[in-house]
Amino acid sequence: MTTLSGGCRCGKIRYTCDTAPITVSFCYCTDCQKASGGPFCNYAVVPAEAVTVNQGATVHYTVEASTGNVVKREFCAHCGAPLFASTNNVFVITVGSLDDPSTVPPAIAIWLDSAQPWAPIPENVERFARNPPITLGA
Amino acid sequence: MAGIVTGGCRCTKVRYQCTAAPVAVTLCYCRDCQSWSGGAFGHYVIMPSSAATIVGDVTGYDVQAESARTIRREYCCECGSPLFARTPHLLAITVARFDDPAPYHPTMAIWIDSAQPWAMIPDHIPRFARNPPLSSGAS
Repeated sequence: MTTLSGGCRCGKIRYTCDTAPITVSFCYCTDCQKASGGPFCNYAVVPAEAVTVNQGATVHYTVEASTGNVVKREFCAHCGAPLFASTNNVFVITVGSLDDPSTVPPAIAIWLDSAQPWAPIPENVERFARNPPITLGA
Repeated sequence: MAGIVTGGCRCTKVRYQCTAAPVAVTLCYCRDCQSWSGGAFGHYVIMPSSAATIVGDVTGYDVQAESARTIRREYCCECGSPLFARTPHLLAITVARFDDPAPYHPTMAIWIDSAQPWAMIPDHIPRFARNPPLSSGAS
């Protein structure tokens, strides 16, 4: 069953995800600021095996995050839209790439120790100074 | 914030410097900026179109925004970092690509008609349902 669907801005890449998100995070770490161009990245955390790329293919860039974790960031080579990021044990979809982001509200705000002084932070979510337990992997 | 400010992409293949003061610092909640940032909004320092000197190759993609304007979005083809969005008169630079993003407090929230229901919108800045007057371009 397809629970979530989305794609890049130009339409070359389409994906589906057959489960609801484990959680939805706003990550304020320095590398997520660089990846989004703004104060945070907004991710739906899902099992990697739940995601199927139905059309097109991403390119990726690998970066070492503040934790020392290696993060693979995937985007569309044609339009630049960010789509996925992953570490060894966590896979995320950018909420802005979903066909309907309205159904995926944030649940946690993480890496607040690195947030810009002007960054908007949701009020009704659980807050973490750095990584939440979820990144330890299940 | 006058003087020279610098920035660039994550992998450092693209670098830029700006000499103009910002026209505005916007949070844009339009659907295209959601796609571009991957999240709730795009966050930009708006400058005159001639304000930046760029070193390195950017890749551009033209998109028709909700306003029906054509916007050119430019990013690094190596690391995917979103860098610039352009109209004929204005250059929008993604805030977090500056070497020091801390000074760029948002000054307006725009296209909030398209905001996701859960999107945070700062309380203390002017809000515009769609485009603000500055995007008409003569600034």
